Amino acid sequence: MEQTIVNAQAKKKGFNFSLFLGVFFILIVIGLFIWSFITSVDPTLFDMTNRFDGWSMAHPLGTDQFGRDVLTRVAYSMRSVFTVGVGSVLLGLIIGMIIGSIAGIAPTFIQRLLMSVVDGLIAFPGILLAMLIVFILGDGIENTVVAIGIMMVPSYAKLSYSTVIENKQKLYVKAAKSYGLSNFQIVVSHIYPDLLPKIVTQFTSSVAGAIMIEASLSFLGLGVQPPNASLGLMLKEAQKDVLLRPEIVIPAGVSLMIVVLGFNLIGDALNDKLLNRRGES
Amino acid sequence: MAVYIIKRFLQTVLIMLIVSLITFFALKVLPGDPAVLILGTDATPDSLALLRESMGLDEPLTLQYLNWIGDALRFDLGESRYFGGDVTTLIGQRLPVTISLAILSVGISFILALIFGTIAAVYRQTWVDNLIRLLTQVFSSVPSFWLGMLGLTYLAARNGWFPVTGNFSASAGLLVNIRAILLPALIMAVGEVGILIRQVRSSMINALRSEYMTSTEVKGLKRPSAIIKYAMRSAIMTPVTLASLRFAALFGGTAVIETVFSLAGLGRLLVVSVEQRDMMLLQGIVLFITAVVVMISFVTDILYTQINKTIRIGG
Amino acid sequence: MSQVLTIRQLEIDEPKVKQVVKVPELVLNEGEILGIVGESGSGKSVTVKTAIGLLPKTLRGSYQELSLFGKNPYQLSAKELRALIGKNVGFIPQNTVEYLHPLLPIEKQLIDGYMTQGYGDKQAAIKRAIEMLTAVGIQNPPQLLKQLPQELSGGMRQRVNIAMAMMCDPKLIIADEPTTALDAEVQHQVMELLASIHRKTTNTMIIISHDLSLIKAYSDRVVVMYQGNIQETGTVEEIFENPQADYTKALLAVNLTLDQDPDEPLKDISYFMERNIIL
Repeated sequence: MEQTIVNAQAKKKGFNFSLFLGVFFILIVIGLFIWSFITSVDPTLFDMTNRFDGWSMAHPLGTDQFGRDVLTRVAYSMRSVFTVGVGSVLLGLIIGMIIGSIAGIAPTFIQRLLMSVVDGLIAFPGILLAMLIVFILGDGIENTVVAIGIMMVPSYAKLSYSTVIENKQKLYVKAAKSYGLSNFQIVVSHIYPDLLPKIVTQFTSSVAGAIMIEASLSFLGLGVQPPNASLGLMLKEAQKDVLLRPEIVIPAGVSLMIVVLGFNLIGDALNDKLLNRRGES
Repeated sequence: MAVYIIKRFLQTVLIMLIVSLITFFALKVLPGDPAVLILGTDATPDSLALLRESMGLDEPLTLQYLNWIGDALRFDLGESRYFGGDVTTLIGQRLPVTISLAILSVGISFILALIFGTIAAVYRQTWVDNLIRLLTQVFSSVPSFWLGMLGLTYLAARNGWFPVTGNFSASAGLLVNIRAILLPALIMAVGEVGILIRQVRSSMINALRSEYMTSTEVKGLKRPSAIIKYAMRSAIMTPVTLASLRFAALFGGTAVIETVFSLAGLGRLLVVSVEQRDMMLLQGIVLFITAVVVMISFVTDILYTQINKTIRIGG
Repeated sequence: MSQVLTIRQLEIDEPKVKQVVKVPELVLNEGEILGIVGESGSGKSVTVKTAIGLLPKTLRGSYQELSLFGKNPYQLSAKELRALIGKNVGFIPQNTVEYLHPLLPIEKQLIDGYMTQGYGDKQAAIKRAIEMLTAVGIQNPPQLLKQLPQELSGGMRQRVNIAMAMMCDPKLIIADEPTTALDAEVQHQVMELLASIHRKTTNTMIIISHDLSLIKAYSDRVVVMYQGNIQETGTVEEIFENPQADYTKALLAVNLTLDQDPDEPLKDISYFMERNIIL
């Protein structure tokens, strides 16, 4: 007679529900994004006779306080998700990588200088830095991209810097140096293969953060401005009517959640994968 | 240890230097006449000239910077064009709301994180853990201002559970004040709890793997008791440190919630300064908030290192 | 003479990774000292921990028979298991540093097990703790009780561990590599302490070690393990004077002897196993 001792943790995980959910959400986002180019409905069309309509065939998500079609507005808002969300992170990523890589191979003085500036940037908490930059540059979609982009620089600069420093010590880099490869070549061909997975993993989480920041800025009136569309902006405009008609904030809020959550879940899954290469989560 | 403190302190000073440089010079980059920016376009030429002189706007930049820093160190952050008063005074007036909001919010999320992070760690890799982690991500993805609006509508305006306006004053009783900021604090906690749960979970997993947990099993101690008295004692340190840093970060992060709930706090002041293009006010707030954050980080770091050292002696 | 521990057909594996232990039979008789010897990673600790009901959470096990003091630990409720182990088993760890919680005073760690098992209140527990600390050779027990573990040396910590294991006067003491982390001088003291406790209380002991001379000096019976399998079982004389299994012979041969030629390279176990060398 054989008996078994059962241990719940001994079972291995199967299907990754979170990742599935994340990808599903992002597909919705991309779908809406594409929809915004296909649809013929005008998101800015006022129709005061049809305000606050519920769902219908003509307006699947209803109409807002000005009678505008909510679904179309949400779809158009996805454009700023990509422009600002993805765009700002790309900006920060590229600048950060350059700064971090240079700092990694530069002489001590430049290294300290660059990384001190980076540390200085991180010191500004929350959206403080973005607000400062918006003050200087003004609001609007392009400036928002720059503002959030600058906020993104430090984490990529630090990531690049630490990876370069860590790999500099390794044998294969010393070997490459000995055959006369320049620092630049070494960094690009030898160190970047280690760096890139880390950056890609960080990327999706950064996008989630960037979108949240953009929404906050737009909500405060300091980010994306009309006629450009943004979910934050939609929520800002809904503020006046929310007490009487709370339903109007649902589509924009839920959509924003879906976008951010989608990127966060994918980021998590990527992070787990990266960690699994080195141990357990 | 003393060497470490000095080293960290110098680092802190360096960071503050850079922050102040960025803050100062960033605003100098603005096109246009600073005097006009401060006083507005409808100011008279005389008042403009007077301002330029009193603020030393015609002097070399380095001198201006040093003067500004010197004043700041004496807690003189200039005057607000929009409000007309002393920037320092304005900050002082708004500070209690923001601090209370931050403390309450971090406090609530910390307690929730201890509970759910521990549960996730104990039931690691089971559906309980996966569910908690999923919910954590969901909570972190909820836009606080959206939740704020919904909360305001359903819980305050319609049900009257919470007051609608954040009437918060030093003279009113403590209970009244807490009621005023409880809802916004709860909503902020929703956004904060995720990162703390993650940290508690991670620290608890490490603690539960430690050898001393075996001793509790051999001695036949009850499991919940062993988790709380042994594992949590080691695991709590890092989350506390994180909570402290999150508290610091909230100083800049309350802007949105304060807007939704019409709370007269530092965050709201910050937003107004940008909206109204009040340069002195913005400079002052940014410098103040960042200085507070950097200070708290420094103190937290030193305390954490000190406590860690005490554990490691003789180890 | 009854059996304290009986194991038949125990298999432990790490799911989808590897098999960890495969033990057809292991028996522990009342009043004896059983030495389990083998290289690190041979599965000695895991087997013993599983035997007392503490199979590590990441592993999976199956068995035909497993009985500790006549009961199957895996068929007891959590409460019953706690009572079974808490009252009857004492454990002395290899890791003297981490086994005691670094932030809790020694007093607390000594008395909580005793109190939870219902042997007495706090005062009684402290009294017992002082008795035990004195028995293991601590000079000033009341002062030590107030201290934190990190303030003590490795040898002293191990004595405290022994005192802690003895608090409930257990019928079985398991020493898992008790001297591996200690200085040579202290090793001897600790082992002598364990031996004297055995003589005084006539309890049953399991000593796990990779140190052959230690096992030889203190065990009655010996089990030799390698890669999760039992290579040989027997009395200490049988194993050391007349080893039957190849592995056992090789293990004995590999020990450095004083007359080894200093210029010859050190021989490891595979050398002996390949050559089937008999000592």
